Amino acid sequence: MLLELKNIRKEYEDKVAVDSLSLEIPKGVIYGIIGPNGAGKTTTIRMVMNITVPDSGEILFENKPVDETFRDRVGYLPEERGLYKKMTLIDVVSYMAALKDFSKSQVNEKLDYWLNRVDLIDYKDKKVEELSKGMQQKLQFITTIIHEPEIIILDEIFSGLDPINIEIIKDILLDLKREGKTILFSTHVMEQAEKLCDNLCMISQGQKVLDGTLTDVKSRFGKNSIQINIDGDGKFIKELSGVKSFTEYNNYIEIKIDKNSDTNQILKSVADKVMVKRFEIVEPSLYEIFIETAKADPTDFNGNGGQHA
Amino acid sequence: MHKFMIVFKHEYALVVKKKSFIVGLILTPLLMGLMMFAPILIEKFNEKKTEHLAVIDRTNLDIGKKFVENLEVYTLDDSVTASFIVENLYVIDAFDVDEFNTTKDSLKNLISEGNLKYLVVITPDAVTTDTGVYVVASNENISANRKFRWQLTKVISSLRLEASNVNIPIDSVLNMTQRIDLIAKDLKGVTVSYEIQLFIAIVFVMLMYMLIILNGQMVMRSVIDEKTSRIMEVLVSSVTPFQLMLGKIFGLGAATLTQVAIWVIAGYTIFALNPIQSTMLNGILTPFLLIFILLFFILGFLLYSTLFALLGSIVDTEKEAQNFLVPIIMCLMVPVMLSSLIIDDPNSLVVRIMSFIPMFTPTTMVMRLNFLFPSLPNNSLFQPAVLESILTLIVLAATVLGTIWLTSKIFRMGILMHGKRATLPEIIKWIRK
Repeated sequence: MLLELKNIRKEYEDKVAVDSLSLEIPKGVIYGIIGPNGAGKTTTIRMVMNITVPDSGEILFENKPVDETFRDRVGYLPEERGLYKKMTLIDVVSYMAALKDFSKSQVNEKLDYWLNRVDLIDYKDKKVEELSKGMQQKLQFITTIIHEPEIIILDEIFSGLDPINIEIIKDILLDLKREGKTILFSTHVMEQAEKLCDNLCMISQGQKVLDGTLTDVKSRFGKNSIQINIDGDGKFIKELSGVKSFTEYNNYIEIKIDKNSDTNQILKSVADKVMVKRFEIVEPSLYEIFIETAKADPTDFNGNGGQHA
Repeated sequence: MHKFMIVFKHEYALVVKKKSFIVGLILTPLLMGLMMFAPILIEKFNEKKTEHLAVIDRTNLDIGKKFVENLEVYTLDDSVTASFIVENLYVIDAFDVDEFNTTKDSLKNLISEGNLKYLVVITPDAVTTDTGVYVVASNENISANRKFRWQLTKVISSLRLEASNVNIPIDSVLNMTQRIDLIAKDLKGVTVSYEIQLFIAIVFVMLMYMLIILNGQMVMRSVIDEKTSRIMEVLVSSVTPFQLMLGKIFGLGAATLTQVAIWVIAGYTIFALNPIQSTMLNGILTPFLLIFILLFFILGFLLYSTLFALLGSIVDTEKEAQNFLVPIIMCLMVPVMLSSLIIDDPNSLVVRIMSFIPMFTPTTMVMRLNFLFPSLPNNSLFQPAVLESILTLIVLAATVLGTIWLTSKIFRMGILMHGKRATLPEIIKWIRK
């Protein structure tokens, strides 16, 4: 294992933030820590970064307790973003890289490539304060990866980014994975996590709900969901036999069925009443898996990006 | 050590590359010089022109006439042009009140029109009372007043002596009553100027006070900025909080000291080119004294920079920090406020105790050394005054190390705290960890 958390516990004055949490992060994967706001994601990551110290348990990097050398081998993007506003892009990146033992000439070699990839090349000599918030996010992402860290840790990776920029960052992360880097990220946006991670761990209220590879987790839950696009009112589907749950989204309906239900029978019943445009048996989404496993309240996910400790 | 150097260089360059650094480098000594020399310049400017006056004498004792003669001793810089020109001397009988009033009013008009500067009135009872003479002027001039008073005193005193039948020439009486200059010599027999010692002590302490506060605030602001811009968490994922803190304190301190070094070299060059002033300072400002002052300065500088870094780490905004600034500034100021104690007796018990209170040590000792060291028989380290100074240095150095250690524990936690100020119980908990 590249990184291993063993029975970590962290208690704050009024609550237990993380409780008996164990994670195993293999080398070369994209690993997602997923959970609602306040689940303990940031606390966990901060403990990995040695910013806070766990009350009990241990954190191992390459089977040894995390030490000073870890700092130079990791790239860390904290939940609270920030850069020196008065400095130029190139100076900020150079200083951050220097702190990671990455020389100025090495930065000069790489910087143009990365600025090009995130569309910031025109701002190279501008001051950070002249960038928009989204641009600053991308710049900070570059400072996180420019020194070619072996392990990249990103807290609330997608917060503050628009869909286009999310795609840009996602592409870069997939490239980095291909190069053999290990990526650990946290998010409360399940749909995005689902498209990105190989392995994942769901946590809720400081405790692990489930973990494993994405395919593992999904197959454990089986294909018991159906997505239906129809013309007309689909409320009646709720009442059909074999339908366990019913969720109406903006442009489709998702239902869950009992294990032994006849899907053909359901399709027929629906087609009898309305025009069916799409009828697809799908894997459950991470969101549904989470709600089912953690018995969590769906409203926990409606937060805006995780302002928790 | 390597990471410390990166932070050090970054912080140093951040200050030195700023335009304000160059501006401050030139402007500060310029302003200080202007403040020191402004009174002299103003005086010079004022004395350049001849002033006109009129005198009314109502005594019929020739006081006015003698006064006018005496005024001739005052000349301008060329020692030829008179400082004062008496336009008119009116001798008016004591009982002729009407004429006196008309004359006085017309002269007052001249003054208000600006054609006359002063009117000196000698009333009939000038010899019998001490308040029998007065000056009318549109605005007071202390230096002219002093000169008038001195010359009138001479004239009137001699009349008083005559009246009491003492038969001695007035000048010898006045000479007898003049003050005596007491010259101080040190054990080596060198004349030491007490005023110059005091002047040097004050210059050093004020310089130290100014630099410590300016540098301290810079350190504090730098920590607060990194806290509010949320960059701190990234920084501590690359360097330890301890490396960061030391890099800041020493990097910013080095920037301030660069400025001081440039001033000192420039100042030394100016002094070296001016032989009179350099011999004046030679007996006092020995390299021996300067080395000690430098040591106290550097340690004091470190102590207070660390405290300011600590302050920056526990508050959220600069505004919040203001309340805590007062005690820190007070600690710096107390020895300056009690400077009369140090000047009176640099070896009194109170001063000695103050020298060993680390917060007071730098300012107290810098003042004290200026009075202690010049009177030492030699520059050996093994004599009571020097040994005591070394002991205070050791106590101060130990305190600096202790403060850095303590601050690093608080700093580590404080820098990652947002939204509220750290409370005392929290800080105590952090120290215990």
